This record gives sequence, C-alpha cells and structure tokens, in this order.
Amino acid sequence: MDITIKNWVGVIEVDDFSPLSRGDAAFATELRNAVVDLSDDDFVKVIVLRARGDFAPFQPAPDPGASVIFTEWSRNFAGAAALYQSMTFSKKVILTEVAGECAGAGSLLVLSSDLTVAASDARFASPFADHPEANFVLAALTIRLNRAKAWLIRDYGIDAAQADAFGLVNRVVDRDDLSTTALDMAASAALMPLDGVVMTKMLQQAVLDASGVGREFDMASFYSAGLLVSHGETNE
Amino acid sequence: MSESRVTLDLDRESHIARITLRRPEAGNAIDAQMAAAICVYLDEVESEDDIKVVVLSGEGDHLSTGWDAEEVWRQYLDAPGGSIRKHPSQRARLVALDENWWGPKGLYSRLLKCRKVTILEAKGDCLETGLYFALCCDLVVASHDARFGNPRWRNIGADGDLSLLIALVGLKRAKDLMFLGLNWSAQDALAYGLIDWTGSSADRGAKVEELAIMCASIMRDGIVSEKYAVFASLAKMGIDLSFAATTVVSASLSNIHFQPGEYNFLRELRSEGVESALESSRGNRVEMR
Repeated sequence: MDITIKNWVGVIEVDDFSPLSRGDAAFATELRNAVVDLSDDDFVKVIVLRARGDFAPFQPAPDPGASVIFTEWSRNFAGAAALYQSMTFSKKVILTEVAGECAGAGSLLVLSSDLTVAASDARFASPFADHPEANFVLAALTIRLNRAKAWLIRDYGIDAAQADAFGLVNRVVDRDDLSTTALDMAASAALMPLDGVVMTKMLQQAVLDASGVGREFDMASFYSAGLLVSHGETNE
Repeated sequence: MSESRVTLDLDRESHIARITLRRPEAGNAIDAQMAAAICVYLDEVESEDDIKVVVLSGEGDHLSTGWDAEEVWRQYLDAPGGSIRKHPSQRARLVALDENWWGPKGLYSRLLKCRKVTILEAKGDCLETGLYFALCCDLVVASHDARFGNPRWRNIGADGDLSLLIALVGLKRAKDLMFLGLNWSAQDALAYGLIDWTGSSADRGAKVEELAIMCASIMRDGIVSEKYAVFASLAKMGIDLSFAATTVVSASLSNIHFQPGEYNFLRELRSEGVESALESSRGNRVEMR
C-alpha cells in the first residue's frame, strides 16, 4: 500500500481492493489506519483511493464465523472504528477512482466515499449478497430507494453509464484519463478551506445520523447472524 | 411594508398569490430585509383562505444571484450582540442565521412549511438563495437558461442545509455542489430531480400559469391536508435537526481560520470590493500549498 501526500491530496494506492471482499482483516485494518491517518493530517483535505488495475476483481466472500460476528468481525469490518465507518464519517473528502471490475466490497467503498470518478469500463456489482456490512441506507441515499432495493434483490451489475445516471458516480471518463480526472477533481475540492472541509463533513453527518446510517452499520452483525442460520428449502 | 424590492399581489378570484423579487439591477440578490419581507408576505398569504397557490419569481434575467455579498457581514452586526466589539459575537451570528434563514421564523423554514402550494419560476442564475428557493418550493419550473448551484460554498465550506439537497438529488450527486463548485444546467437539474419542468423562456410563464391554475383547482382542505402530510415526512427526515445544525455550522464557518494560501472571500470583499470578490470566488481559482 503506497501513500503519498501532495497539494492537500493524499493518495492511497494498492494493487486492488479485492482483499476486502475475501474478508482480509489485516488489509482492512491497514487501509482503515491509512484513511484515519490522512483524515487526521492537517495537510490533507482530500483522500483518493486508487487501484493499479481493476478496482476490486471478484473474490468469494467467506462466512465470518458465528463465534466472531459480534466481536472480531464487527471490529474489523462494521464497527464504529472499522474501515467503512471511518470512511463514511471521515472529516476529509474521500474520492474513489474506479476502473474495470468493482465487485463486492469495492462497491461498498464507493458508497462510503464522497466522490467517485469511474472509467467507462467500470462495472459495479451489488455488495449486499455477500457483505452484511454493506449499508443499505447509504445505497438508498445515493441511488434512491427504488434502485437500491432492485440492486439488493436482483443482485445485478451496474455499468458506468447507468452508475452516472443513478448518481452512484460523479463522473465517467475514458480509462486513460481516470487518474488525471481524479486528481483534477481532488484539486477542485481542495480549493475549499481546510476548516470548511471539516465543517461541511460535520454538517453532512447530521443528515447521515438522521437517516440512520450509523445504526445500519450497527445492524451488520445481526444481518450476518441471520445469514448464518438461514437455509434454503427444497429446490431453492 | 416599506420594502419595495419584493412585492405581493393577491388575486383572490383565481386563488393565486404572486411574490416577486424586484431587484433586477443586482440580479435579485437577497438580503435580510428582503428575506423578512418574503416571510411577512407568506404570513399574509397564509391568513387568506381564498389563496391556494403562491408563485415566487423574480424580475429581470435572474431568479436570484444569491445572498447579497455586501450583506454577508452586516446581518451579524445588526443582530443583538453584533456590534459590541470589532467582530460580531458568536451569539449574534447564531441569532442572525436562525432568524433570517434557518430557524422557525427564517425564510427557508417559512417557505418550506407554507400551507399553500408554492411554485417557483426559475431562470438565469438560481444560485445560493436561488438554489434554496428551488429546494424549498413544492414545484419548480425553469427555463433552459437557468443554472443552479452554490459557488460560495467553495470559499468557506457548505453553510446551507444539506438534508433537502441530498433528499432531492442523492448523496453523491449533492457533492457536485458541495465540493466541486459545479453549477447544474436546467437539463441536469431536471435529470437529478431538483426541478419539475424545463423548456424555453417563452414557454416558462405559460407553464407556471398552467400549474398554478391546476393547483388552484384543488379544494382547500385537500391542499392543506397534503401539505401537513409533507410536513410530517419532513419531520421524520430530520429536516428541523438539519436546519438547526446548519445554523450552528454556518455560524462557525463565518469565523474560520484560513490556512496559508487559502482564498479569503471576506478579506477580498473588504480590500477589493464586491465585483472583484465575486469574480474570484466564482471563477476558476487554482491554489497550491
């Protein structure tokens, strides 16, 4: 994981974010720590999450394991100090730069970020089937309730053009232009005073609180437990 | 009322009231006195049982270019505790923001919770205050030349309610305005759900009239029942909480510390004047650490 800071913009670059999809706790913790450190850095206004290849190629998601759902798994993936809440409630602007396949936890990173620029070949899989920590309230606030329900129930992929129309991404560009566009957007957001960035995020938090985003993250362990005890009937 | 920059026309026969901003020479920039006048007119409209619909519009090319830049500081000085020292007290800022804009008696709360159907006729610049008119009215008719945004946010941070914006256009789309300083065309605004209709300038007035007449044909009890159902939903959405948070954050943002190299709108306003400050604040500034 490479981290650079220049002109108020912190960039976190990895090969891809698929380790999150396969439940890699060490990766999640390292990424969380990087996000928190940059969020606390007075010389950073915008944090960019970048993959060197496709954003998050598919990886099968393992069951968390019943004995750790409410403890270790929650602390690593869903809890207040875990990665996704650290991103959602960061006091800095977080921008995701998405090319190619964005499966499972990749879409959750997109939902937890403020801004997203996507390459025209980006495809966003539903995070809900395999990731109990996926936040439905964030999805409903972002792409609207009817689309979020369809994404959850039908488990379909959203291409870049649809993502733009749905409001899941802010901009779609050619893959060759992705990094340049992301940095241009980051530079634009960084024109806001540092105090303004922090207070804008705090004001947004009032909306997220009223909408129950934090409570939805709290429910993740229960959703996970429900998945473990559920079983298919004949022919299901 | 001595405020002539806002007028009210009541047509009881058609059941339609019209509140018109009449400050075209300043792009209908809004100050606290104009906001208060609109609130007084909304009170008057609500006391008239024969009025069912209020149309809000502006004279000239623009609905509103925003908050009067020269007023930004004065409203704090005029509030209780505002002129005791060189800089207005924090309580003066809170009181001004609450009473003029976000509190129960403020412009946006009054417009959002008007018991009549509110229709906005949008054109040209619909910035800052103009954007909030669109967010708070029931129906928005805009001609193709309309553009919606809040360029001031880039100078200090988002100092306006975010809950309505997010509810209307979505969480990530809202950040086009919050963090990227973009203005949306009428076409974009229609696609995102901010407005209800767009068309040519020539057709705009007729569309407003059509909607106003249609709404005025609804029975009085029906309109007020529907509006109270909306108010209940707004309460569940936490709009009052968000407006209160906006007052607090906005007061804090009026008092922020700038880092070296960051653009300071008020400093430029004081040293270079309104035109220069507005041009810099709405232009493509590039600043590097």
